[in-house]
Amino acid sequence: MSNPENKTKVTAFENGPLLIEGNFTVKGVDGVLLSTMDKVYLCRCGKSANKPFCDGSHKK
Amino acid sequence: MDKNERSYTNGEITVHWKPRECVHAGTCFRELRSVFDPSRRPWIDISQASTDAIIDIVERCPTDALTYERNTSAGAIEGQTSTKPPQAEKVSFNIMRNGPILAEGSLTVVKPDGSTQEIKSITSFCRCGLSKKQPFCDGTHNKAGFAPDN
Repeated sequence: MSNPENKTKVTAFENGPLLIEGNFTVKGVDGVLLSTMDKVYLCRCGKSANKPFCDGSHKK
Repeated sequence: MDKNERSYTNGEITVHWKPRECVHAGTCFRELRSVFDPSRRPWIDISQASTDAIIDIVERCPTDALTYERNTSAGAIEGQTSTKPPQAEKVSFNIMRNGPILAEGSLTVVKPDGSTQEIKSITSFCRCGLSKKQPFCDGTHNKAGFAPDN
């Protein structure tokens, strides 16, 4: 089973985005691979112009 | 058992439907609409495809919303429930069209108050900002008309 050290972690920031860290992929609505990085910020306010990624619009 | 749960049989297998487990990944109705048609009531018509085709779809349901059992020749259920394949270490985050982020795999969620929650195989995260179960999806995007992906 997965060991705790490299387990993927999802952090929901207060009034901010989702930070995803670990070994993961992000795929878009058409199944297209959007990210293979080990750290991404995803929008969770619905306002980002760069969805699914955060662009800071939640602060406006 | 949830009163909304349903079972459908074609004699060979029995498909169980647990609506509370569904995260609307959509594999079933996209790939086998004849059997799984959300606009129809009942939405599952198990007579519309072969047993093998239905098993293929049910096994690819990312949650236990759809499961199946093989019936015995007598029509009784053997009690051999399908189980989802174990999740790989790599977690996949799939953006659902006009919906949440579907996360498949084992992960730790850290909430804004610092508390943590372990997810064993699957969950969905709110992407519209309106869920009352933050950071998880509660389906509110449907009512709100969240449609950034059209």
